[in-house]
Amino acid sequence: MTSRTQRTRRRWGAALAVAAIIPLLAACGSNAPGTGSGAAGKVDGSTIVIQTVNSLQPQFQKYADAYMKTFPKRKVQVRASTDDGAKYAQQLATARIGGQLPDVFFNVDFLADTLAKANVPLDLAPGIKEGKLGSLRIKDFVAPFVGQYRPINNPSEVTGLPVSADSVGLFYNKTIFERYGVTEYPKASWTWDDMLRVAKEIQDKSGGKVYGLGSPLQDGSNQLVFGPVLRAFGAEVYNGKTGKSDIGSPDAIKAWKLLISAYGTSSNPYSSNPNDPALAFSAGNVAMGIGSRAAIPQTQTTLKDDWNVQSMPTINGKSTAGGGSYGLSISQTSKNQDAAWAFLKWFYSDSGMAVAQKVGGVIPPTNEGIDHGTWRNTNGLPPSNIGIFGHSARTAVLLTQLPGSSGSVLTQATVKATQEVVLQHVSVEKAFQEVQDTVNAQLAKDFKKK
Amino acid sequence: MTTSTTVAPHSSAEADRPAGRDSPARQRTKRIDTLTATAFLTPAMIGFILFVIIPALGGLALSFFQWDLFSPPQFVGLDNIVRLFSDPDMWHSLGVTALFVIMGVIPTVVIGFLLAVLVNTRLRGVSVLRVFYFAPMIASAAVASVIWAALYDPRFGLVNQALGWISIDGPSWLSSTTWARPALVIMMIWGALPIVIILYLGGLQRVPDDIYAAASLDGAGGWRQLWSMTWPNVWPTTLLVTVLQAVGFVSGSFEVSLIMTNGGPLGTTQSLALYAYKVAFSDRDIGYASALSLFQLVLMGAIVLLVRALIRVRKAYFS
Repeated sequence: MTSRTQRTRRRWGAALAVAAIIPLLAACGSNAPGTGSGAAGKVDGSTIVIQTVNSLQPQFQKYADAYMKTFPKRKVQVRASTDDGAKYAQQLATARIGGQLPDVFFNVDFLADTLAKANVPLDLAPGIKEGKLGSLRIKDFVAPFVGQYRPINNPSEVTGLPVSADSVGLFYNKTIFERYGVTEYPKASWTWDDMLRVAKEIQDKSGGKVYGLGSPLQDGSNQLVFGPVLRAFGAEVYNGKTGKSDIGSPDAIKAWKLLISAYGTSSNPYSSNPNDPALAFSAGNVAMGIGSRAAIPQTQTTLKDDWNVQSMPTINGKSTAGGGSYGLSISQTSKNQDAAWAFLKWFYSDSGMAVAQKVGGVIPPTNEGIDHGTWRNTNGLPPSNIGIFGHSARTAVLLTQLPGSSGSVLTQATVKATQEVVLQHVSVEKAFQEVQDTVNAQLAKDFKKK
Repeated sequence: MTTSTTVAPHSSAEADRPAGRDSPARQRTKRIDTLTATAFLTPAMIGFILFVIIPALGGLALSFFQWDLFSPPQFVGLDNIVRLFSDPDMWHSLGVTALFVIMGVIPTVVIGFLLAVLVNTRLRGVSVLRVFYFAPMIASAAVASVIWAALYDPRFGLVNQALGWISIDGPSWLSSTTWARPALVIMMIWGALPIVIILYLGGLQRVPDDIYAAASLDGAGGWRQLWSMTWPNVWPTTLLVTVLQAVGFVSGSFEVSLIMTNGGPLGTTQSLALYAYKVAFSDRDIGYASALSLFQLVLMGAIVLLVRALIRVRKAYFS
């Protein structure tokens, strides 16, 4: 056999391998988006799989243990995976291709629409109407939080149920305040100007040893903060009626200027790492931090200083508390849908929610749960003013759902614009006008794809 | 009386065998050797095929499709390839990758060589140094990135504190468009040194001692010997190290820039690999990301082919 013949054979082999894969991929096209190929299955004697993220695995394991203790004939396996949203979506997609979707899975507001379009979660609205959650109906949930799980194209559907009505508050470290002789603690009547002024005072008095405030914008991507601030100034990240963003409008520019002014004066200087542990409120290096209610359990464990929380300061009399939630969905392809419903029914019942509040500090996403839940009881641990989260849950400005890839384009564009302004001294107007143009261009593309 | 060399007569079987064919015993031995080699190679080959070849071919195929992971893939032909060449972000990322290679490879080779020479000498205390030069190999790239990010912290990090001792006001390393890239390159050089030192130590062992003795007799000092004798004699190792580090800086910059800077600030540390990752998992454009990865593979192949060509030229003209 000549070497030329061997080389020729190898080339044909490689070409055939590539050619073989192309029709395989095309065959995936025949695997049309899931059309509810799941099954009811049995309840007693069943085993369901719940998928969550790493940081919530301990809580979910406790929910599962409590459920199995109540119903010994029903088994629940908890699987955990990455906390990174993009990777989590990719893993769900891979699981769906492999037919390995869990029965119940962690869903989150910014992914909900994408997953719904891909027919991953089951529409829960008919089941809730039939009584699969007992006497609980959709109207019993706090409407904006359930709204996060209504697909943009089919708002009558509900593809997930929020686990907790999470909102954002102002965390403050009283020990640091006292150390530098600042006695003006955050109040419910504070405005953003008050917050930045006091933060600057602490930072100056400490000689830079501590930061007055953890930077509100972080690396420029913190939509939980900039969304409500923009709205308070009269601008919108995304206007669902016009299908456009006015994130570069004159009103929005006022918001961006306020947010960016904090860097280096009232807060830490710009950092391109939004998850820098040294800048977390619980690290004890910042006097104030804007954080979600969900951060309370970890802060209680980590921070030994005296601390408390207060409502987010206002702008023009308007709340700037952002909100969001993670939720639970049932997969369309689950073969144990009845068992999955049974778990959700228990989870959202008084007994299930009691466990969730005790274990995870969850604020129930129902009107009844917000008003009378046991989440307000911190057993003597800070924050004593935890009740502010009940009020802010109802007034929270929730994360805006953007169609298609516009969400990720928005995030990248705001990060870039913030860096241009802070690091290269580009004007705020120019930088954020470019953001608006970029996002609107992507929105136009995403609408065209529909 | 004349002597003559006689050849032992062949057996009749050997006499009957056609020229060029081995004896049955020899053929059997060869077969056994082949089977043994195949048995030992098969597990590694299976892994290589399953985890390298098939995914690479899959990536190649995906580059002809548009796919967001959730909807069915759509065949788009060469659209992704065409888009690649007109994408300004791709060219920017390629430029960043090239800068990583240029800034990183030469110092890695030079510092690695000098440290290997130092470790190879019989100086007092050098065995302690041997422990430290292996330290970067203990931690994974991800762990090392997190640690170095803390070292580079402008307020609490050791780097700026050390600079403060000599009255230098250190920059905000990872948030500076000027210093972020050098900061990452320094960290990558640190991580690459152990393997470079090990390779050079192997190369140095092959340099014969007698040439140094001869050079000393001729009055050549230490630096002269290093430059004129040691360095040329480890040329093959230098070539190997350069190729490995070039490939390493192209692909290795991904983890480091993802964890430490996320490609920022303002894309100054966004390598081609990181750009492909973001296109895949943030923009969910798997087809185009596959095209970008394919392009990177072609680039690395081109580097290797270029080096092979250089070796041939050197052999042809200088040996």
